[in-house]
Amino acid sequence: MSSKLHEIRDPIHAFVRLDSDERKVLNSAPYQRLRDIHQLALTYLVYPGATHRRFEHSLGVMELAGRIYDVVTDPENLHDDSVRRLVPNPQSFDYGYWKRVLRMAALLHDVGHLPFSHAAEKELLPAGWKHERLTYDLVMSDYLAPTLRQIKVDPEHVAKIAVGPEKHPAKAKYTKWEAILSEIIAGDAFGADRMDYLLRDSLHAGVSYGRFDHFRLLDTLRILPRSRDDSKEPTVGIVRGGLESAESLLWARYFMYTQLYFHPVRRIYDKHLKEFLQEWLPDGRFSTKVEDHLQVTDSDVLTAIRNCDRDDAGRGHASARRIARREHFRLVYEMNPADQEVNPNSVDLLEKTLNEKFGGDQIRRDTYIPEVEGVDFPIYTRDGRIFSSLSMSKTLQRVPDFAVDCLYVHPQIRNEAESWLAEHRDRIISEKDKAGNSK
Amino acid sequence: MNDLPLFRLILTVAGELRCRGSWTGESHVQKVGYFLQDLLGVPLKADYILYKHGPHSFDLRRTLSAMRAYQYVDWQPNPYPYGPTLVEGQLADTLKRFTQEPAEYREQIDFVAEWLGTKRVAELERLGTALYVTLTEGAGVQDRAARICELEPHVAPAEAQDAVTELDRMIARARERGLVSGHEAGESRQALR
Repeated sequence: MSSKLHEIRDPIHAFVRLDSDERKVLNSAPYQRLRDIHQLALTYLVYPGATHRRFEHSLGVMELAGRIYDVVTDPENLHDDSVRRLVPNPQSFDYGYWKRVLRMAALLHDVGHLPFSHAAEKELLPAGWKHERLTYDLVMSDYLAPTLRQIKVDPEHVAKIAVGPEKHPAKAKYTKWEAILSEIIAGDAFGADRMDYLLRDSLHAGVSYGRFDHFRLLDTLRILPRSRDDSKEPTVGIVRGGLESAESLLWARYFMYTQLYFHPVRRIYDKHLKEFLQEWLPDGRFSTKVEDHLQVTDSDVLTAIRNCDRDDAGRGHASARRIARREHFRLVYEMNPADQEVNPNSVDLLEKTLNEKFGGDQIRRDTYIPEVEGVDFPIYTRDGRIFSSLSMSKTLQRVPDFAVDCLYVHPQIRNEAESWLAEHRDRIISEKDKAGNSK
Repeated sequence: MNDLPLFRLILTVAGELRCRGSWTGESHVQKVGYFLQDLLGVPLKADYILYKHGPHSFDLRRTLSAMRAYQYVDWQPNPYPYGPTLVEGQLADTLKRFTQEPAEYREQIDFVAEWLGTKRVAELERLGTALYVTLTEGAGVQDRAARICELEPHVAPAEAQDAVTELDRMIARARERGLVSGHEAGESRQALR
């Protein structure tokens, strides 16, 4: 292993450090491509500062994952025999090996992202494919695997930890240790990925909600057995002194979703972008060959959008125009608890009647439930006991899960649609229930 | 919303578990869901993998998260060492008003809740792993027990063997009652033949 250390300045972590071996992976084509993949897709059309890329985010995840590894594997921080059996001794070969695997997995965890990151990958890839599958294939490909072997790590280990147990293409069984390493990167509560994107997105978008005391949180992370009656499953938790910073993180996540990630204009731009790509791409989908994947970045798509905007007959012209000229659809209705109490099908009914009244091409619906959880984690207390965070924190009990379900209309019919909805909405959603009653 | 029948199904399962004295934590719902779907063919739209302690579905976890977002369920904390209990949320009654009871799966739900509702989590993890090994690999009692110990090293051999034996009894009973449908009895699933 080369001992030469390189430092990269970073607005969140001050410095990201990596050695010459790790820099070979950084210099690979799959990783360098991330310089041209926006972290937050077209969010910069709403929050102009949000132009940061997956490149710097992935560096941040590597830095954080390495720091977390150092803390949770410190022998002084191992509080249970079941965990001591899991963690390699700091003097052993395994200790350094797995740290290298973890850092490389963190660095590469996003290399499979399509242009503009998450926007509509379900519709833009063949059935059953997600960007994690591309990440896996890239790590195992000739673009990365030989370099990883050269720096003495098994590419399969890196790929496995990078994509996690849920998204592994062969549904491989993870050892508890591998599951913990994967959790350090992508864990619901304290994953390095989540910590970095909250802090970084918050900084660049100029939305302060995403900030939390990550320095304190990092120092208090531990691998702990999560008690479930008579079962003790190891997971990443904290010591009591980190509870307030953990609460702060989980509320930051809630606010960032509601204020930034679910911003209705940002969401409708994602939809217009998906529609554009479905028309512009051959067969309406991205290729899943790694060679093709490496050739397409945000710049290519943006150039296509500009060209198609100018060409009335071009494929995807209407969607390109909506993005290029800010003629996006306008929000006219969003799901809310009051209407849901009257009728859980309220959005379905309103969408159907708006379609009938104005035509389906004038209406768009956006439904999304984020893949987040993680408010229940173990806490190690000063007297040596381990409790569930939900029994220790009234604040965490109240962190809501959340979903969006919104209806948009073409800008030209916005006023008419709003007036029509105001007049008819209550009647439409008060449709009878299965017993024939209406509320 | 297309998922309302699924939400109602899960609400019903959780209710039946509670009725039988289960504290209905996520582990209970996960493992019971695995038996319902992969053994008895009740569609929960949940892809299961073998995770740290037995079969686990991230899809089911997301479904529970969505149900909480719509206020159909909530998590109620419990004293140590129990995890939180899945309880009905503020809009559970609205969900019930607008959806039918999952009558077509009533027998399967009752069967699984009756058999598993009072079990402790570690036992459910072993039984769930036994079913996973049975469905994916089959083979005799000893081989399946040995495989459980390979996959879950914290499980003692005697515990693994008890789990396989109990699972085989459970499957036999389910077959007597006509609850194991054709697709579960594939060629690779020897114990179900």
